[in-house]
Amino acid sequence: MKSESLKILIIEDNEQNRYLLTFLLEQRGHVVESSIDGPGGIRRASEFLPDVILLDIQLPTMHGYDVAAALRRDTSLAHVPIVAVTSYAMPGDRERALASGCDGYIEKPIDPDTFVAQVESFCPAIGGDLA
Amino acid sequence: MIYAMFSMVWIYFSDYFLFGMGIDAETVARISVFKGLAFVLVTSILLFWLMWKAFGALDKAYAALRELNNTLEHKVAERTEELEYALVRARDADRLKSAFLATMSHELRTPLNSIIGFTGIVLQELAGPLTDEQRKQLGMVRGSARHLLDLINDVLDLSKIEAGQLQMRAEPFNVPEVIGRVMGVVRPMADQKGLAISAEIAPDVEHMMSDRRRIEQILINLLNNGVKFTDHGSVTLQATIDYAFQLTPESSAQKALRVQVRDTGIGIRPDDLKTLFQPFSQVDNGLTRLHEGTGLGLAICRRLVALLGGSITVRSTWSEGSVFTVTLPLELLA
Repeated sequence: MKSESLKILIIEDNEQNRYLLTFLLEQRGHVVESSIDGPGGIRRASEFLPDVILLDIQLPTMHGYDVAAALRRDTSLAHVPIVAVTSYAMPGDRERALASGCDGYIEKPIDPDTFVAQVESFCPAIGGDLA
Repeated sequence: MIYAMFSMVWIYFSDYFLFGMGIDAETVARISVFKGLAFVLVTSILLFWLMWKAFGALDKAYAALRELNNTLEHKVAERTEELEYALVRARDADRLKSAFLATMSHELRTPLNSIIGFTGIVLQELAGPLTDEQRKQLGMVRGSARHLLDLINDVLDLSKIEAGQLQMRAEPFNVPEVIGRVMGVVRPMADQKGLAISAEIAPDVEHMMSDRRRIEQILINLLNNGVKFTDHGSVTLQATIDYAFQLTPESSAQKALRVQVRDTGIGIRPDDLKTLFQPFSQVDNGLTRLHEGTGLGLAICRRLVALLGGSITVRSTWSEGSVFTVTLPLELLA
C-alpha cells in the first residue's frame, strides 16, 4: 500500500545528512523542509505545520531535547509526532529523548532501505490533502 | 649529686684551711658562721642559675613543640587542600572522558551516516542506473563503511564499559525468541559459506529477566565468530538451564541460562587461549588478519558477561573446533 504524501520537517545541522534524509523522503513523494538548528526549526514548524518532525539531538546553540520540549509546548503542534534521529551516544539517550517529548527514536547511521518506512510508521494515515 | 660533692669538698677544705691557719677558737667560730653563710649564698646562686637554665631549656623545648605543632597543622591543611584539588581534577577528568566518548560517538557516526546512506541510495539506483562494475565497487564501499561502523561501535562499547558507563537494563523476555532472532541475523553468512547452522533449545528454557540487547550482542558475537572461523561443517547453539549456577565457589547457587556455541572450525591453540579475551588479540598465527574483525568482540563479550553476573569459558582443539560456554543468571540483580 502506497502511503500518502507527508509534510516532513527535518532539523539537522549536518549538511550531508540533511540532504540524505531529504533525498530519501522526497524520492517517496513526501514534501520536505529543513532547518539547521533548533530555534529555526521551531519557527519553521509553526509556519509549515508538518505531519512529522525529524529531530537531530546533537545540535548547535540549542540541544535537541530542549527543541523537543519547546515544540511540545506549542499547541498548534501538539499532535505532531517528533522522531529523534541521532547516533546512540550514551546509555539513557533513548529514554531522555522520549522523556523530553519525542515519540520515537531512529538510530544513526540510518538504513537507507528501511528509513522512509520507519518514518512513515510514526504517522497514522491522516488522510486527505493538506488544506 | 654535684651539690653533695661540692658541699663535702667545701666543708672539708674550708675547715682544713681554717685549722691550718692556727688561730684561736673564738675567731674560728666567727669565721665558721660567715663560711656557712657564704656556702648557703654560693649554693643558692648556683641552684638558681641551674634552675634558670633548666627552665630556659624547657621553655625552648615548649616553643619548639609549639612550632612543630603549627607546622604539622599547616602541612595537614596543605595536604587536605591538595587532595581536594586532586579529587576535583579526577572528577573533571571523569566528566571529560564521558563528554569525549559522547562527542566521539556522535562525530564519528555523523559522516558515516552519510557515507552509508548515500552508498545505499546509489546502490538502489535511486540516483540513476549503475553499471555492474560500479555496483560491485560501491558494494565494497558499503562493506568497508559498515566494517568501520562495527569498529567504532566496538571501541565505544569497550570504552564505555571501561569507564563504567554501560548500565545493564533488566527486562523480562522470552529466551527462545531471542535465540531465534540472533540465529536469523547470523544465518545468511553461514548459508553463504555453506555451513550448517542450528539451535537446540531445551524445553525448560523459557523466560529470563536480564539485559536482552546485551545478551543478543553476546550471542551474535559468538555465533559470528563460529561462522567466521569455520570453513567446513557446522555451527551449533545449545541452550539449557543450569539449576545451580555458582559464579564463585562462595556465591549462592542460582538458576542460569547456559548457552554453548560449538563450531567445527580452525580451533584455538592452547597458547592463544590465554589472551583470547584480551582486546585486539585476534589469534591467527601466520594467517594474520585473514579473518576480518575488530579483535574486540570477545573482550567485549567477557566484560558484558561479567556485568550480567555470569561467566564465559572456552574449550578448543586446534584444527577441530571450539566450544564457547556462556552462563547467565536468569535474574539480573540490580
